[in-house]
Amino acid sequence: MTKMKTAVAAAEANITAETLMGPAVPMWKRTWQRLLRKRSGQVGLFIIGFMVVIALAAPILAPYDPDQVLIGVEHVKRREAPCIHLLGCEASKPQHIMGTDENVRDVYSRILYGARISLMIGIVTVSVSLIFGVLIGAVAGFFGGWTDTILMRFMDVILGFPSLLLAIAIVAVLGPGIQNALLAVSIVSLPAYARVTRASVLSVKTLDFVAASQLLGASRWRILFRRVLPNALTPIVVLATLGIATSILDAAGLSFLGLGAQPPMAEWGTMLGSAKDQIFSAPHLVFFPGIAIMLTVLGFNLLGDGLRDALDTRLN
Amino acid sequence: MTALLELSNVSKSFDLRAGLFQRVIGHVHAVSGVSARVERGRTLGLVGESGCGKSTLARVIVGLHGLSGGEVRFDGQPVQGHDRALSRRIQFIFQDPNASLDPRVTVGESIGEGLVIHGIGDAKARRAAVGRMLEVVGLPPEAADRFPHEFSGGQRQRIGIARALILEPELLICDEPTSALDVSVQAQVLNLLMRLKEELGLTMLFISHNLAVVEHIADDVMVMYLGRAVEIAPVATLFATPRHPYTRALLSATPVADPTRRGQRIRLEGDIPSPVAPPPGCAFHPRCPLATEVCRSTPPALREIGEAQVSCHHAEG
Amino acid sequence: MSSPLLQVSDLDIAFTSPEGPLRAVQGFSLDLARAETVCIVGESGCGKSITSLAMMGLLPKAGRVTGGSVRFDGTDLLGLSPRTLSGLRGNRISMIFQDPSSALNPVHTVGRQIAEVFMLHQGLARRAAEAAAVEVLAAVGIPDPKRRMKAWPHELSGGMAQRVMIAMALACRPEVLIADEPTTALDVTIQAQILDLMRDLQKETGTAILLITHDLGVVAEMADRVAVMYAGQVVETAEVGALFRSPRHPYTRALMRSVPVIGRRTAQLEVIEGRVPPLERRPPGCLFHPRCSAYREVRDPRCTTEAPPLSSTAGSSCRCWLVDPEDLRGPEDLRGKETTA
Repeated sequence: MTKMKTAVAAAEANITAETLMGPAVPMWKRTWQRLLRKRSGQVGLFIIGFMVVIALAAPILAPYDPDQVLIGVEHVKRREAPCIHLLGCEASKPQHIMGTDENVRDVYSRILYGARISLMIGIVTVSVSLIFGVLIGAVAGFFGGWTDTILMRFMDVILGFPSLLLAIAIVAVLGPGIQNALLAVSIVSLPAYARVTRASVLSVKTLDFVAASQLLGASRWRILFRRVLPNALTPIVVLATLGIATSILDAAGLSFLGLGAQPPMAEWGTMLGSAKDQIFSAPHLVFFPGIAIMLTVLGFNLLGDGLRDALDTRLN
Repeated sequence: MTALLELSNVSKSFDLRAGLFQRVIGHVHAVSGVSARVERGRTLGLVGESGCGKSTLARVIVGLHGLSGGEVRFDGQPVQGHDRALSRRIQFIFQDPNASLDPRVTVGESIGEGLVIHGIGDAKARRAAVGRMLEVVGLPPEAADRFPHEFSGGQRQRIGIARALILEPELLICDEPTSALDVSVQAQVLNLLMRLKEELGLTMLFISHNLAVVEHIADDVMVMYLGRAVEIAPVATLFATPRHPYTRALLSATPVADPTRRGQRIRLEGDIPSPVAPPPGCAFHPRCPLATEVCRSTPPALREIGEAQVSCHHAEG
Repeated sequence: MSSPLLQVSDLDIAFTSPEGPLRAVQGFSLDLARAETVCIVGESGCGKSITSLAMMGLLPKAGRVTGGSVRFDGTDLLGLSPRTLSGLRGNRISMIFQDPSSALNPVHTVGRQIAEVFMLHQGLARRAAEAAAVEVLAAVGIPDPKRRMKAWPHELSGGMAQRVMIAMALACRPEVLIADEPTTALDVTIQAQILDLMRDLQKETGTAILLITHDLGVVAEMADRVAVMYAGQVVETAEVGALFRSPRHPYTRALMRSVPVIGRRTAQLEVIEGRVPPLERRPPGCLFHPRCSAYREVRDPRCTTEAPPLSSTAGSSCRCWLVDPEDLRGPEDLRGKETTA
């Protein structure tokens, strides 16, 4: 979450008319080209692309049903270490390249299916907090006055709590479960979007083309949605990309604590949580979900960093 | 004959806030008690240095800023804030051609926005109108499908003019429309504005810090200093016989592109005072070579001297 | 006259771009003598600022000097190590820029920044440096200089900040002052003060001034000689009186007639059609021909195919096929007229 806060601060500080005024349509093309030139952008895109492919192709790639208990189906034990035929594992044993877990399920298949859940968590929570955060921030920044004070003080209250603790409290009230965890993570990340949007809107709304629209007789809502918001989105795009990483991590944390995805759902945080006592006896049960979370979070962080540089018109 | 635009005693001050609770700790007196008339079909030039309130005054007239005091009358009717009906009759041209066009929409969309807002014509008619308007300002109609960054500063300013004129306004307010442009491009835009004024019978309020430009384009000139009008006169009179000491200093400080007229200048001492705490009496007295005791205590009223109105205790016919 | 203090010859500057190198400045030559003011005048994009930065070794990363030399008092500045060059900068050659507020360091007081110049370049101790700083602040006409020493840059008005910049630039009595649009961001009454100040200080110290500007009025006020630049080339040089009396190059002529002048109200300003061609789309032949009214009349084929040379007679030069080099006047003729004016 610290990363997220730094990103918020940086995004707020970076908002100047100059960064917001980049040229229009080819901007996306140019941003894409610049993103591809950046090492962080390349690696980030590659990792995320890889995860998306895994998530989509999980049913094809996975050798087993992720929830199938293999007792009586195959001759395997609980928490069996990885067995890879190519690396010299006896051909008589069934192949489980990431081993089996305490319920004798294929870890590899669960990791593959877990990618679907993690990406879904990231995208859903960010979409929810993005929509509401941007709305709140835009209205607060654009209308100012009491609207601004009330909305933003409310956001500050949310921001005042340590985010994971607040998420835990919310889930504790609503009851554990993946849906409530998603909601909690969304609420917790809301203020970041609101604040960045507000700062961005504040600086865009002083630009002359906004005044020009007003002088042509445009209504306030038309000005907000047609002129101000589209030009205020750049820093929010960067923040949302970084936000996906944070949300995945937060949701995994909740699941780890038993408050998010419930067993038997193949979710990386849950897998970590239920195997935490066996970290020495069966390290593969902790290792693979941990790596999966780390890779995904890294991918989105790299992409976010790359995007920030690519969208920054001051660096050419 | 009634004036198209009439300002009486227009004032605008901004609150200066500070501290945790954003308490008002002072006021910036941007415009103080300005009165002026612009007759239909004429151009009033507004000159002054930074901080003199000329841009604020322009924005007050169109309602981008509220009034703090006085009255603005347009075509005999008092104007309060900005309303939709007025936007068809008064339009504005901005100084910075880079900031006055939305970078994310096409030029055609920017120019046609006024038509959309006021529900004029269908999509096809609007497109045709935008194309015609582009031709009027000297750009090809195909420019409508392009984005602002594909144009140079001068071309963007033409686009801004097209956007302002598509609603066929009667009054056009130009806020330093050429000061961000190169000299050779400035001439193109000035000529365009003068031609359009002639062809469309526009009334103009033209704001500039450049005296030469104002002399070129205006019929009457108002000189402002620290939020006040110090001299209003027909252009020829003002430049031939400037009466206010500030006007004279401004004229003589302007470098003339003629090396034989070098160094005949009135040198003004000091900086322009802050509009937060304007000097008492005549606002110009701390820099004025003619200042006497009365200037330090009593603010001068605008008096008529010949064709001019001058706000100075010492100005004489 | 002795050999010039600053002698720029055939300076070429190129920018790297994805499409290959772009020639920003071509064959720029200029002499600057002691106590002389030379103006470089041109519109944005003509390469005037880049030229001055290149002389000081301050080109941005993408830019590169690809040819020519900049000789200052006998040594070629382009051959010097960055260290030696930065020892010269601020000491024997100084620069001031258009935006004074961004050139001052916001976290140090004005006094400290000026004192540092003395400590750095003249090895003065802090006390002595501060005393010297008060003196230069007084010299540039800042009232109550002792108190101003403690001011922060944000507390200064634009005119004050530019005075401080001039104070810093002149701290070590440089032999050359390069001023890049020093008054463009200022109001006219303040501009008049700053121009007077520069001229007074020049009289006192004999500093040579290279003044870069787009304002023909400022040129007429300040210059002894003028170089007009267009699209990266010098198109005309002349003594100031001659330039304004009888501009030769079609660009100079059009430029002068496109600017409104007080007391000369005309129904229409002359317009230079089109705009300065961007770096990557420079036309063949004479760079000005697509906008040139003289070319439109005469249609000389050389204008579109062959780049005209800068032909010079002593004292003035002009880069145009359509101007007869014989027609350029000699210096004696001009000097006589100037003193009577």
